[in-house]
Amino acid sequence: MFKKVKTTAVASLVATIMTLGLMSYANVGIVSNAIASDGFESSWAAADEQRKMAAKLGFEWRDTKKLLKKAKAANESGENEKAMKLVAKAHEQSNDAIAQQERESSAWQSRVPK
Amino acid sequence: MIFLKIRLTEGPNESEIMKKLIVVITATITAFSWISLHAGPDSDQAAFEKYFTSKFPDTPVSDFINGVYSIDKPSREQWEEIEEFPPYELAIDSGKAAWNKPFANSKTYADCFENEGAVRGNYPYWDADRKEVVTLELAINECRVANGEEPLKYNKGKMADISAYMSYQSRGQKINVVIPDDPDAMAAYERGKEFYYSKRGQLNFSCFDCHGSGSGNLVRADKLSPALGHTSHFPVYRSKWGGMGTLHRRFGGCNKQVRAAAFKPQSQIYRELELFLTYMSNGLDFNGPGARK
Amino acid sequence: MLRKTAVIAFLTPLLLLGSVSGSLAIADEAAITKGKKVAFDRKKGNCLACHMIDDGTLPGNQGPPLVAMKARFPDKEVLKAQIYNPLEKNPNSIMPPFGLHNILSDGEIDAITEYLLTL
Repeated sequence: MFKKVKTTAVASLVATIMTLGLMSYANVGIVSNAIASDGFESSWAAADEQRKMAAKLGFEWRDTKKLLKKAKAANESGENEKAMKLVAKAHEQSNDAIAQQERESSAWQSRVPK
Repeated sequence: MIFLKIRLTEGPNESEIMKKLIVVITATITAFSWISLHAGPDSDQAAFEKYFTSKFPDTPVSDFINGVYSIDKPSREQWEEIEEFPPYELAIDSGKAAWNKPFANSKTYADCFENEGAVRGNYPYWDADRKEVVTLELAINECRVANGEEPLKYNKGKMADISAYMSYQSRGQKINVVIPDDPDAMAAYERGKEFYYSKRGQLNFSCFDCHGSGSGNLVRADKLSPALGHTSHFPVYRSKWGGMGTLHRRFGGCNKQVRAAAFKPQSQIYRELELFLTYMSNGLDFNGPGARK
Repeated sequence: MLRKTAVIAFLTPLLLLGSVSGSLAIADEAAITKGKKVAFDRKKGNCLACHMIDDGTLPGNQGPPLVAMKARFPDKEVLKAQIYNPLEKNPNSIMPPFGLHNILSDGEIDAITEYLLTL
């Protein structure tokens, strides 16, 4: 009986410490996520906007959408740095695709057999 | 220019002459642009054909419909063996069954397509009223929808089977795509042409990079097929797919291989690409369905 | 004693020099090994798709065989630039712009360059 109470007490103590620990961890997590996620959301939106522009020109690259999807997943699981890196990569891909369209608009003609 | 000056200084009514000159000049410019536009597809096609016949002088022009096997003896022998028991036969059978099976409204495909389905040679074509390119696969789905049936998916499966059956019925028909005297049709042709020659995707390849200037070369152990005759034999059974696929499935695959986002099958640009590429093979035979590696 | 010191004094810089050049050689070796790996990797350089290289099996022939590279590219930077963006020299080049389109990282291009110059 006593033993059981003791065990319960110890268990609840451990649980309290753990909860407190988790709460503070979660708090920090929430705060840092909120700051980062604000930056993330706008960066992500800008990269997606650029992807749509490349698509409109007919020059979207194969993996850009995938990168943006991965970035979102990384952000949601708290890997902010990784998420931002993926967004930057996706944005650059679309910049490159748009530059490619511009280059090709005056380059393709020279390849036509005459 | 000198003549112009003399006339202008000598003439009694300068503004009258100016007006006439402007009319003449405008008419000349219009005529020239009309000629250059309409000289387009025909001379494009001749140059395209010549590009491949001079690159592969041992291949008779009529043989380019056999793709890479028209330029590669060793793989041709294997392919001819495969053709003795063609892997697309099941697709033709299933397509035939679908052709004969009445829709829910008791009509059949035969109510949409004449000649027992032997109409491959009529596609793709420019529909002047709709102002768009109509392909065989698009027409198949439009027939279904008009008769109250669900449209089929365009890349493979039943669509490829019906297309295979109709192509089989049409074997030997001539490729004879017409680009009418119509600025919209010309613009569609030009968009297909620009797509064909433009590098795209992260790897920066155009269709022509591999199947024009690169044709006949090896990518690893695979010889790149020449573009002339490329659309003649679709749909194809592809060993790599382990099944049948339509032309637009192949377009999508090519785009993805160069790491470009693929377009939807039967999207406007793929239909325009089909129009251009099929036009380039005008005069050759339709010989689908085919078997490829 | 004096002689011994002199010998040591004379030898030490040589030894140091030796070990420095030794570690340089090891760094080169590492870059070359990495370069070959990246060049042969289908998802990275995939150079064998188009070029005959070294002991690579089933090479393509879209591009020229990669031999005598040091003679063909006495200036390392020229070779690096060709891998980075072949469009610079020829807008119709069929070779992918590995650097411009971030197909490979700068470090990977450096490594491939080191490797190719051993051929």
